[in-house]
Amino acid sequence: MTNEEKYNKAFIESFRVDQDRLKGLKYQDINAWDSIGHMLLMTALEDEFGIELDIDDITDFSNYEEGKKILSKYDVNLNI
Amino acid sequence: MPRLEDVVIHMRLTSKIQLMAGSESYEKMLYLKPLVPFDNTVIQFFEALSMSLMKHPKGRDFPDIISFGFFSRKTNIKRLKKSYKNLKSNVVGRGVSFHIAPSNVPINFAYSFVVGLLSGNACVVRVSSKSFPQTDIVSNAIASLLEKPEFTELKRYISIVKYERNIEINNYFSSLCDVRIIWGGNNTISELRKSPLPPRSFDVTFSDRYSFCIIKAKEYLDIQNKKNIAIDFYNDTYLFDQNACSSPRLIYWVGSSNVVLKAKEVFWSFLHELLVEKNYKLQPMTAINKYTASCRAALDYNNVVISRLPDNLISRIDLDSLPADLPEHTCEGGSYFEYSDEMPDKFLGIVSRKFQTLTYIGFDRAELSSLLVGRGLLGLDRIVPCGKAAEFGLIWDGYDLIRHMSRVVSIE
Amino acid sequence: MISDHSFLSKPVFGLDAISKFEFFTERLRLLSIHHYNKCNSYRKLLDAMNVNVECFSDYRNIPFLPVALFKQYDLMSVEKDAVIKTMTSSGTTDQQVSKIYLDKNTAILQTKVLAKLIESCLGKSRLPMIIIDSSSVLKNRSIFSARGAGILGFSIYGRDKVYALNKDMELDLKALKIFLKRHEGEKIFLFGFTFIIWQHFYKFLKENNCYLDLSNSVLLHGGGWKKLEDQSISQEEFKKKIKSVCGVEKIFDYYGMVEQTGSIYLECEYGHLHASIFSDVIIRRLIDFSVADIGEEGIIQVLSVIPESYPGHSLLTEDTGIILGEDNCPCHRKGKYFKVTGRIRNAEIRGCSDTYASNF
Repeated sequence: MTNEEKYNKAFIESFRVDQDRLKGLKYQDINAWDSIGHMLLMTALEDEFGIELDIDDITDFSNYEEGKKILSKYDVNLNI
Repeated sequence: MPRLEDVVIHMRLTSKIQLMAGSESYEKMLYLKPLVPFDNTVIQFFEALSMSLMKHPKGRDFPDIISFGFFSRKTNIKRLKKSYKNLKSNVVGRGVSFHIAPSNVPINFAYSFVVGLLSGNACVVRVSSKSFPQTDIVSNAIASLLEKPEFTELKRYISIVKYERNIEINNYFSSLCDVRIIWGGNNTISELRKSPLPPRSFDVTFSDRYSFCIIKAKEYLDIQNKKNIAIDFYNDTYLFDQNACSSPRLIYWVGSSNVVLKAKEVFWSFLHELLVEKNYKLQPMTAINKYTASCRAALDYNNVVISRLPDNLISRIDLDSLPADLPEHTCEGGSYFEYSDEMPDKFLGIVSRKFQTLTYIGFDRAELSSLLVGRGLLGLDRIVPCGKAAEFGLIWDGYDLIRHMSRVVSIE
Repeated sequence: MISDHSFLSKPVFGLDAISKFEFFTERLRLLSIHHYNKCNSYRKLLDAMNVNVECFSDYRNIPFLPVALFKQYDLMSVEKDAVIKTMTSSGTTDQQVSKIYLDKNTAILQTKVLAKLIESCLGKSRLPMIIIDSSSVLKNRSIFSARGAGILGFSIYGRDKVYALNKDMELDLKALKIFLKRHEGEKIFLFGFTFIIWQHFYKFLKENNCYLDLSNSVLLHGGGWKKLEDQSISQEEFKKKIKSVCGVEKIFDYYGMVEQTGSIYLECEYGHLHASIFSDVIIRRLIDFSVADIGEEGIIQVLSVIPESYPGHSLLTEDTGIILGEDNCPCHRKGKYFKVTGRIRNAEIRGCSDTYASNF
């Protein structure tokens, strides 16, 4: 699986949404991305990429695009 | 060797104890090797437990289960372990820990359990005798994991039990433990203290605490996403029906009177909207209790104003001064005292041992540090942003739990 | 003037909604002003609620006090030395009890109101009376519980009374038989608390296969149905079973509480509890305490024209109920009639501070 696919998978499984919903998706845009959904997403991303996210990054991670920039800090390259 | 009469007593009591997970050989725990803090098998166990709970089909129905899964996930445990890298290498668990979980927070037992195991102790954990789905889900997850071959040895260190209030059973487990952790407030502590502890053993108690929130009115009004603030405040309060010891009961507004007036209007309006959206259920007795609490405040204090609100979801009691006995006037389910001042320091005079958490909106860490540090306050263990009141940490109520529940072997 | 008690001469169930509204609003407004002036606590409360007593034009807007306040505070509108009686609610030893302070005026008014109500139920003449309880309940005349108060209050309407139970709460069959012989053929007034009648009167007669002929009697009972409900005994079954051991057909429940004695609500022949001219019932929605519609369940607020020595004229109870109608009961009594549906259960609260000692 490519990084892009792994990234999307984390969102799709955590929020049970379709891929076409992902572009521009922000925290609290959908019911599923509440504080609970956020925890599920962060855990899924950590597992998927074998990384340990900083607490500040967990708090700053507030939309699909921003998240990609954050992950690049952990040497995870995604098409921004 | 256990005496025959002890065995007989044991059997009579165990029939009243329901084993939710782990081992029934309680007395054998006395002879288990203590573990080192952050033992590898324990860490693997929590990793597996976290994964199982985060992926549980019912998980999403219970925010507290997901929060616990998030707390006990691999990366967090690793982070916690790192924060204890200064722990000496000759530290081990004290032996057996006996945990009494609070009867009204279904998932609290799991956090206590994590602390017990991470600090190197065998754990007997009594869950609430009330029936909660979260307690069952987490206990079952623990039980399933303990059936795996890699956790056979660890299983001997763990007993998650349930029993109706029973002083004999309390006596029994208390007599086996090295440290007793009592949640649930002052009444529970008094009850458990009737059961004697062995000479070297001690209690870690979580007594009734008082928490409040401080808000800078102007800064609040300038915040872009006020709905987020409402959600944060909700998570600190209504998520536990405002009954967690860290739930704020007093809102201290800082600012000039007309700014505060505006900020209050906006803040409570957002919160009310959220409560309606979340379909928060007000229990009948709570509606009456909150009304009674407002009346009590009017009788006990002077110049009280009971805010007239469109419904009973939020009760607000306005004070023109902060009385020292304010912590005696707590009520669950959304009852808040309010006080406002141009200066942020008027609460300092009433901070007692009972004060636990201060949550804040519109302040930064530096401001609060200069306000609070060096004042010789008898209370206030945690100062955290609004939304983080109930976040569990290994340092809780002023106890560094890992250090408290482990012992140092000193060799010269 | 609150000392104007001319309402005592009005027909007890004779005011229709409009007349009742006018009379009641004025009486309660006067009482509120009286308590505001005489009771510091009441004044503080009304000031905190920003309520102006002089301006009440609708008795539904008069603030209600939660009954729990009477447990925690001494609320009175008279000097301490004017108090001749302190009533307390029944409670277990570790629970606080309500304290209701009566002066001579209020005590007399309570008695007069109750007399009018009983008269409407039993007729003008005093009847031979069987009190289904033990005389030991009345040991201390100046401080007694709801049970004692009820018995003392009602026993004034009986002539020649007998207590059906001995000090061990066992049925004194011998004493009863002597009493019944003495009053053979007469209508008898039976009074007691619901659970005690069941537990100590009915059960004894049933278990011992006895039948007492009380077919020409009226049984008035109160105290709530909770204990019987806990044993799955319905109101219909209670009536049937009582009839089976003593033939009583006229069985009337009443609803009342120590915080508002005297102005009780009596059950009519159609099984409905009625508010007399001396009292009223409002059902409040728990979500916002607004007035519920007829037929809608909510928390019961009780109002009474009696309390002058303590601010108990408008109270929020911990019971739930439903208004069934107003002025249109087939029994032809005017006023509201309602049903009590239960006590508010203790909230399932979540949180880490709990009362281990009492709820585990």
